[in-house]
Amino acid sequence: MSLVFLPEDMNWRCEPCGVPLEPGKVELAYLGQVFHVELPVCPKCGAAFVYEELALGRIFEVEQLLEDK
Amino acid sequence: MRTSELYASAPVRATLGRALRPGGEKLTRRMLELAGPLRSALALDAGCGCGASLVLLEEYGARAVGLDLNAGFLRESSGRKLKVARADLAELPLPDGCADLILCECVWNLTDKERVLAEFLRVLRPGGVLALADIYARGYRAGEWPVRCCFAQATDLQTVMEQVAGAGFEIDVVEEHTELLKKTAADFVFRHGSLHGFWQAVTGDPDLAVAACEASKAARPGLFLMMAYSGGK
Repeated sequence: MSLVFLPEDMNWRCEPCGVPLEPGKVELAYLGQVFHVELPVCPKCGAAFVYEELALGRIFEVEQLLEDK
Repeated sequence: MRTSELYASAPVRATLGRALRPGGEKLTRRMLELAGPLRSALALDAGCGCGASLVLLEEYGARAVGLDLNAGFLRESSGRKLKVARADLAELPLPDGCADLILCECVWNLTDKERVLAEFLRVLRPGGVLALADIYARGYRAGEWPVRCCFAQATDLQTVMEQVAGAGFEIDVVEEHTELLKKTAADFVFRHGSLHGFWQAVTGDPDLAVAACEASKAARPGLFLMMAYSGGK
């Protein structure tokens, strides 16, 4: 089951493709561990958007944990 | 809230599902492979919870029996035609030398550890296998854990080995599986925002949550797997 991480404001567009981002399933991998989450994704090129609060919060703490820090 | 059943709390169950422990089926399968052929073997799952490993033991051809103190978990397992009973692992309701394999996954730390090892030795046949997986401490921390849970009685790995050997077992394999524990902790972080958020969800108390985070940072919990034989192979 994926955890859903979407910004409160989903009004984001993929700049190269010029299309609105949509919720999509993403695999995050780090140091051999894989996490299945749902993030804003460009439906055209597949790029996922990791917004600042998620990057500096959950993802940062998970990185520290996996790095044994 | 202080709980002796961290593994039974809603935040843990939501992440771990039926397995109720880090590593899930992966660690159990590793132990069953190390245990060798299990067809027709009498296997006891000591602390069987909802019976996830009993299903695997049966898949490997063993005659599986599960014991647990938690009646709620045993009820959950009862719909699956598994052989389970409620019992204290320090007083196993089984005759001497009857079991070929005892599987004990992330339960031993919650018990009277030396008495339980003595019971395991009594119930295993000579040459029978104890497959033990549990939390150990990779760091040092003095004093009680703020939350009573499987980390509270965890010791360093050397002490674990001395206890198991001291009980009369011959240790054959020791493996380090801390990566599986880290993955579980990371899953908790994703779900609850942080480890503090996880401990707060478990305890309902922000101060206890801070204390649990600090205790965890000092103790640096790890996960081991051990295969040990009763009376030599």
